[in-house]
Amino acid sequence: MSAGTHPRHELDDVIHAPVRFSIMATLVAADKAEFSFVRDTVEVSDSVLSRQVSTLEAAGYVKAIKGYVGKRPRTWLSLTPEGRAAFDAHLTALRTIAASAITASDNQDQPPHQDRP
Amino acid sequence: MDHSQHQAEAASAVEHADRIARGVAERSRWYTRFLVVFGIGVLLVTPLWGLLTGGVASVVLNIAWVVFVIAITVYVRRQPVAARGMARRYRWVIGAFAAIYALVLVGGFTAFPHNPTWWIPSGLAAAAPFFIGAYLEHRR
Repeated sequence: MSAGTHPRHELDDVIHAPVRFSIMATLVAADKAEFSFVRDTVEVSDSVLSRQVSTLEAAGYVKAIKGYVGKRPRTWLSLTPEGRAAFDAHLTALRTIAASAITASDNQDQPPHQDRP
Repeated sequence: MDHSQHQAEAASAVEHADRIARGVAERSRWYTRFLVVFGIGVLLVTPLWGLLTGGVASVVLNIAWVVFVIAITVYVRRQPVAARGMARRYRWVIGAFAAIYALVLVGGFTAFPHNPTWWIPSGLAAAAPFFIGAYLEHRR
């Protein structure tokens, strides 16, 4: 087997961390989401979410927009086109790996090969 | 980590992402309600606009419409999430509404002033993009 052909090589190290993966999974399904909604969906504290969002912003995957609803400050998070493409590629790689599990399992379920009499 | 563990983790991550996407879609259902309520407002106000002949009733109608639009705008701004593609789909709804509404107003005020046979169906026509949009959102 040649090096670099396995789908795991397509996995994105920035996205692969569990909390960042959940943040990206939330935002990929949305045009935009409020910081508190993402925090509650991902089930992390404000500070953890802030730190992970900063990492994703530094990678160019997420953008944060601050604004107000009435007098209350709000932060809206959304994916950049690069972030959306990166998550799609990451998810495709994961699906490929998961599907190879099913294929391997199916093969194991096959009756053992028998030589013809 | 062995190969099968990688595969199990990948399957679990995909399922997790799908579950989150379903949660986002569920929490975005406010948009369907918004379209229905906006459509009902347009359905009621459009005929009244054409049929009322001015005076206090028209002033009250205008004030009620402004209050309605402000209330529905506040409702939208308070929502914590907008599902993927919602803004694009809304532009289609509001674009169709604007085109129909312009035809209704121009046609009504020039050719059918205060004529119920024009204005009552016009309310339904102007509200149709909102109801169709709501139906399509509901099916998503």
